[in-house]
Amino acid sequence: MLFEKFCKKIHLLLIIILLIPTILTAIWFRDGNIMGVAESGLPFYNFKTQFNLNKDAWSSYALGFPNNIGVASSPTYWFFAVLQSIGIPSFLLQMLFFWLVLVISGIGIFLLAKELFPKLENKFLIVAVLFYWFNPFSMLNIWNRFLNNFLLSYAFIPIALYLYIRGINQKKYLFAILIGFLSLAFSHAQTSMTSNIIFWLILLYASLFYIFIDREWTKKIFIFKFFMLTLFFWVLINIWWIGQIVSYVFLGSFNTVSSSAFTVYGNYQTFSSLSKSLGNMVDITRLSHNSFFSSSDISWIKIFNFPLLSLFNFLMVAIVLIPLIFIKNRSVFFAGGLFLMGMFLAKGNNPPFGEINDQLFLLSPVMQLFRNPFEKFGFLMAFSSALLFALGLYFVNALLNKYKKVFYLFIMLAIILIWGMPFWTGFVFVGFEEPINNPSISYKVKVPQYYKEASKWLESQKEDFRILVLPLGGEGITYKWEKGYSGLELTNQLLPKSAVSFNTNIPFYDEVSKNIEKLFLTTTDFLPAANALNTKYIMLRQDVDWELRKMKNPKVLLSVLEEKQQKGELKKVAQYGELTFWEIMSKKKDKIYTSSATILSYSKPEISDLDFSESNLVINSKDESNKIPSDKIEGEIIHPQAKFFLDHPREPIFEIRQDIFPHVSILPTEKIYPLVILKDRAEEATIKDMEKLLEYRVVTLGKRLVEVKLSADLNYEKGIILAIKGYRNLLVRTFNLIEEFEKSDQGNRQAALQSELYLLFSRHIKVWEDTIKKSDLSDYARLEAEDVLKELKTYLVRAYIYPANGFLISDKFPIKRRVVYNFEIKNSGEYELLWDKKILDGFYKLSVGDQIILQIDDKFSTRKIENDGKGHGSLGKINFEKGSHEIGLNLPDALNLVDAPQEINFKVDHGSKVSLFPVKNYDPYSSYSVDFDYWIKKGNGVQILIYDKKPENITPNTKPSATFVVGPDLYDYTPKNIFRGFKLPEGVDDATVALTVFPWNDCETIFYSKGRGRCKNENFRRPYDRTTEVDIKNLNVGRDFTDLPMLVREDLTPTNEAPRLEFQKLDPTTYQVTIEDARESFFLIFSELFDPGWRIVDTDGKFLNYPHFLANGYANSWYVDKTGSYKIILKFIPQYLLDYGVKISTIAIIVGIIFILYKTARRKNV
Amino acid sequence: MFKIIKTSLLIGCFFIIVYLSIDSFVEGGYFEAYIYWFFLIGLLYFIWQWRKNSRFSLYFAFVLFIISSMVVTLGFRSVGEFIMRLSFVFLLIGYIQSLIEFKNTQTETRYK
Repeated sequence: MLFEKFCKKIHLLLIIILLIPTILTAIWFRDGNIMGVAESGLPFYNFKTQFNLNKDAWSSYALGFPNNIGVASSPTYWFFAVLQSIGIPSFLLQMLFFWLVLVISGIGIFLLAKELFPKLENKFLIVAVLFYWFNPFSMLNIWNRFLNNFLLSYAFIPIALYLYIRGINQKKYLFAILIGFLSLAFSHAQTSMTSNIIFWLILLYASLFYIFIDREWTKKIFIFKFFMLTLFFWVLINIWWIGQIVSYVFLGSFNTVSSSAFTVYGNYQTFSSLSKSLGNMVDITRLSHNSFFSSSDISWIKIFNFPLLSLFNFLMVAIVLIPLIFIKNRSVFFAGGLFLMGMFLAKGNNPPFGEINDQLFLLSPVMQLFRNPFEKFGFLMAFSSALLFALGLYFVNALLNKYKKVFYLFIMLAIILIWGMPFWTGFVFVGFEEPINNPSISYKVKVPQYYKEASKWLESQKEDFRILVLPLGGEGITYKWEKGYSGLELTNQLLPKSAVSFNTNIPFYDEVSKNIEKLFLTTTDFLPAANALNTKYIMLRQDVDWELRKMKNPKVLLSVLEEKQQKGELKKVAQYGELTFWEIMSKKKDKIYTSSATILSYSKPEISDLDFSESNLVINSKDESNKIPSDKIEGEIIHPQAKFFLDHPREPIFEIRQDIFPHVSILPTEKIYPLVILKDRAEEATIKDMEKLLEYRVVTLGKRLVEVKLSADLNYEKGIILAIKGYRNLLVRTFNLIEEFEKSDQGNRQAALQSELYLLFSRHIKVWEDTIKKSDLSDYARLEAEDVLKELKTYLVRAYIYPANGFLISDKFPIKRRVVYNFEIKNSGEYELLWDKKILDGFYKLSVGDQIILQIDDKFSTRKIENDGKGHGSLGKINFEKGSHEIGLNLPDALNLVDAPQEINFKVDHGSKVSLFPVKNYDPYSSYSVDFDYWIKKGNGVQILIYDKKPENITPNTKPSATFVVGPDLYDYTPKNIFRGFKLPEGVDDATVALTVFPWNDCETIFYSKGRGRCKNENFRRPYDRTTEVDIKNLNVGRDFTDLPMLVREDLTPTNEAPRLEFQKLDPTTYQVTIEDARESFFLIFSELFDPGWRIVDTDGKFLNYPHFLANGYANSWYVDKTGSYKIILKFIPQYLLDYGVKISTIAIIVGIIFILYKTARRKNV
Repeated sequence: MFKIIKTSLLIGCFFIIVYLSIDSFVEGGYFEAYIYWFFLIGLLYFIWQWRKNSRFSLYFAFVLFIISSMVVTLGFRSVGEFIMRLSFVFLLIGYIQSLIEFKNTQTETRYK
């Protein structure tokens, strides 16, 4: 009674909404640390840096990149930067941020629930708020996920929807303006494109729903206008960042990113696999993230897996469903529709009706953003279920009579204490990996003081340079600080200068970042690369958890740095705590420089190509290289564009095999044959995995060919024609899929598929040729068959499955691990065939002076291998005409890199027997193969374990990097051979191959149904041990020959002097360049990430259309044919849009304010 | 005669679902995704033939939801998932029926 009175007072209720967030945030930040994890990084550490990185259209982060939608975060960063500059501690700012998120989301849900269910008592509305705060989706996908933009969307959407529905109910356009203003305040929320789409999906749904449900036409028309006005004003208010998306999509950056970093295939694979793991209905109805809640790595999660709590979660969903089942009310339909739509979309392509989601995903480019459907669309469910829950609870309460207070209190306390438990304890900020899996650390971060000192030192240097940070790993990092950190690599957020400090999948950047550490460690002259990157310092950091992140040991790097210091290449200039700075001596190039000539590089840009350029410029261009006169070209480097492999020759034969030519019992002439096709298509439509789909299509293609062959054998003319038609249709679809593979990141897989498909299609070709030879075949059928064969061969060459010249064979040149490389030659000339010197470095039975037989196009050629003195193995010069060419050879035999006896006998009665073999001359950048003959005489097989350590550092508890299990043989106890490949992370410096044998044991079989857990006890299982005996022979570990050759043509040594220049950075998007005394045309190089948005303009603002090239693997270069002394400006064009956008948005804000004032004044007058 | 054909169709649909369920669960076949389409067709036909209103679908959805919850809590997750998916199909149909009924009558349930 008292509580009811209490809750009837709305202002008291608001106190609850304010009090709970205050207590929660006070608990979270009680020890004065900021928090950071995952993709959000650590923005609360230094807002000034964050603001500077995000305020312009171009960010100087790493090698630079277009900020795109990221500029939308700049007002938020500016606001917090101002607060930080007046001395408010960072942790208080983050506390304020979280408090605002909780309070605004609470108020939003409360007002929305009140608007939808105006007669519902406040005590039920407060339950909606609690539900929204503490439900499992919010727990994991909002708070544990810890993305600041998601957090803001979580607060923004309920209150924006409240304004929208209130606007519809009250028929007032004023609310459309208010939504626009609100979106400006929450602009950081809009840095997530998916959140924007979901927001507009909700408003669109609301509009359509009310248009559908309302009977009055005037209301319907109002809703349509209201929606359009909301959209229009929202666009106007946000045009400053929307313009950035438009320029990103239309200027070309998007095309580069979408074609190289993301593909429909890759996205679809992710979508399917996440749908499978997270899209089960039993999980999504409970708003549960399956992988997280079924994990055993975090102890507190186990509580939620107790049957009673599982049932409690279902009870909560049952309460959500009750209004949908029992109450017919427009607001229930509204929230219910949103809930069902959320459920339908969040399950991804899982049944039921996942095919609809598949089509939506594949047909709409926008849907490609929703690769993780539960994470994105689950929000719709969390949000709508909070509304339904309040009403459901009221309904149940009304049925319970005298127990209703008890039930209400039980539910309320259950939400606060059970769902809220991770919030009150702070467990919601505990992650999986170290150190954030430690509850005393969780997401809390304490950045050491020495970062501030290093920042101060760097800030005192006014030049515009970069830092190369070592060790360099992936985009994630773990710091071993007092309160450590695990998440997005932080150097660019912690230090004021741009740094190449991580490797990620940004086009062009990744070409540099994935190779630069290797280049630093392996090349004799690092200066060309350092110059090309505008690197002044190398920073060694020893505070990272390099072992966990599989990075290079900083001690190894330190010894290399000291070695280079002794040679005079580097000099240690500063040390701050665990950070040491090494200056690159004789650095010659600035961020912008000129060159009189260039090397042209084709097919795949690589920074290591700079080795061949004296002018420190390598240009990669597909189309515009013909605009460069030949006297400006130092030479050309051609990298192969395809690779073919054939282990040994095989006779292509026809045999009925389920995986090649399946058995066929119904021929095309039979009446039920259309059902066969229908069945094949129906089966195919259910396959979600692209690789399996390809396998399926290839096998079905074999089936169609069997139909052709059988029809031809039986001389069924009509059957042949029908089967050929079927084959041809499927052939087109199969090769479209293969091309999709090529475009995707699965290029390596495509290379692996190549030899499989080659062998398979060789059989197809054989069957077609045999069919064509049949004497009783009609002319028409023969012509059709010949056409298909020709088409097949064309496809095979085009898809790089079949070398255009085939695999040549002779007595002296048998096919034995034959590899053929395809090169596209742009200019006729004499090219030298080179390989990395690794092929001469003690990995292969190959040395200088050895003869090698090559297949050059359709001819044989014997060559002698030489050392070119620049770190390459040379096979001499070859004359090539313009066009496509192929070079093939049999791969050299690999040397055995382990010292193993000829024969090893394992006989184990108890325990285990292990033999360790360190890999000699281990190169972390290579992949290896292990193979041996084995004979399991008794019991179990052998385990091959690959360790990333030396044998002396391996203990029984050491976790291997890779494990392969050989055997046990269940039937055929005969000698066999095993072959397995492995590749360890590049940070690893040692590798050891271990062979382990265990005794055979049937303890678990005997006690399968009555306590097999006891078998884990060694003493208990020991009586069930039986001897295992295995003989191993010829253990061989060899380096894989993955090195690609290149063709190099060196034409001239640049003689002309490039003009001198001076430049001034006006802002990150504008550089003023003064060219001095250019006597002839030259190349202008700008060492920021290549982007078509970078243009040259003259001082009057007129665009100068000089050819724009990708330079040095990542940067911009223009061929400038203007002589004399003059000034030009390098401008990132989308900045113009940003500047105009800010002006338009400002005008919209002023107009909006005037409109509100006018409306308010008019209401007062009325 | 017409009634016999309709009943036969319904029985046929039922057997297709049974066959596909066996194919999916026992044989690990390709057709799991089609079960729900056939189930949907069967359900729509049943509702149309026997003039069932939204209450039928929604109650069924709720009952199946409760059963699924119990089954999952007892540890039979895959069976529970199958039942939950059927419950979802009922819920979708029931919601749409209910919305149409509401649109036609515009009578709201009073909750206060």
